[in-house]
Amino acid sequence: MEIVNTKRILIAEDERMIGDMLHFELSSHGPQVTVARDGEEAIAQIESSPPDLLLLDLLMPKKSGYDVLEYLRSHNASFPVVVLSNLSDQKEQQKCIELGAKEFLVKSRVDPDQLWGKLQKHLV
Amino acid sequence: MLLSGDDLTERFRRCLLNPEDHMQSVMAMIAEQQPVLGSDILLKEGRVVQRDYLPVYDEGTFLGQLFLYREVTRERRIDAAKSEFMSLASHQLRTPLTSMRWAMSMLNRSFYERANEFEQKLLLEAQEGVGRLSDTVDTMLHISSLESGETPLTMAEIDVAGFLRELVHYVKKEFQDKQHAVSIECDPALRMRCDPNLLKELLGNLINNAFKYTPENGSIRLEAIQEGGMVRFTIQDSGYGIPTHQQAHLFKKFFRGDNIVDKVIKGTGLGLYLVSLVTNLLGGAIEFESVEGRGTTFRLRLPADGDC
Repeated sequence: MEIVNTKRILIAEDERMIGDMLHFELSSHGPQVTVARDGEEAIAQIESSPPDLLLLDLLMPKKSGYDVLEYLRSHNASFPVVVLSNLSDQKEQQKCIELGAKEFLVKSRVDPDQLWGKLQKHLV
Repeated sequence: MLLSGDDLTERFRRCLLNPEDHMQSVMAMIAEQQPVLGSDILLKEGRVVQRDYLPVYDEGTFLGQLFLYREVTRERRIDAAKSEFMSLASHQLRTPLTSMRWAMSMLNRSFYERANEFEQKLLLEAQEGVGRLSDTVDTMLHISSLESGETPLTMAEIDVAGFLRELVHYVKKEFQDKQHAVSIECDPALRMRCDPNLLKELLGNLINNAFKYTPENGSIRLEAIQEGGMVRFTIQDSGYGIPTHQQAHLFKKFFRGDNIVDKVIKGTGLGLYLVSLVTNLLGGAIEFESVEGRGTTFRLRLPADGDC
């Protein structure tokens, strides 16, 4: 997948270790990966250079994942957003999809080695 | 001070949050003369009473109505606090558990081949343990969300035979080594309205238990038939069964049968509690028969039209 290797993924994740693991895992498949440690940092990075995909946590300091989704909607962002959260209630999933997320993944039900496969389909 | 019946009724009426609704439900019960147990009635100032209604008969002769009211405000507050605690604690547990589970999975991939036999065992044990813990926390969180009544039901038409086949296919894969003989008896035309996710959870748990708690080469029989406005599911296994002295506790949280704990069959003890919770949410009823060493049969009735 040559195309995918030039893609850029932004991860918004406040748990340092989880962010590092996601970075390690995803960058091993080729794309360029950066990690924002809260919602505000994620928005700043998107403003300076929008990624090809955003992998977004929900519960983060400063600005939450919901805030980021609302920001993206009001700015008509065109890249896909995949939510990766520990919240698993249907209410939350519904809310994210309504706010424009392409997919909702629950952290405890995803193994890191499956993650790339799940993101790839949104990158093509 | 002794109060007359009318005085008491009037005093009670003044405490009710919705006196009209209450009167209507009382009149309906008196008209139908069927026992109605455990209804919660809301009072002013956030108080709650529980009502039991029983028509009283003496050898077929109707004697009168019995209404029992018991204040349960404190119990309900404790329940709510417990659910909130469960939910908060589970969320707090989930984050470190995710780190552990992912770290173990990544370490396993990098080091498993290079590790010696004992180290490999340690890696697998740690990975499996953290996976089980994570499942338990997930289930606890799911239970507290169902208990809080915040889960909306999403009804859909269900092809019952197809639904059962798919569930069995999925569970069978997990228990391939057990080589159970499985039969499904269901009219291919049978349809019902239900929440597919909750139904999957309910039947999946029962089928999974049948596979899990039956020794190799057992037989498992599933049946679904329409009975009036209900669909009756039967899940029968030839398994270990539930010891008679424990049967009354089967649907309680963290129940584990004495006869299976020593067989090192892993389980959270939350599955059947979840089953009874979901059955209630879906407006159904569940009963079982079990003989230790012979097997267990669960009979589940759910409204066919999804009316909970």
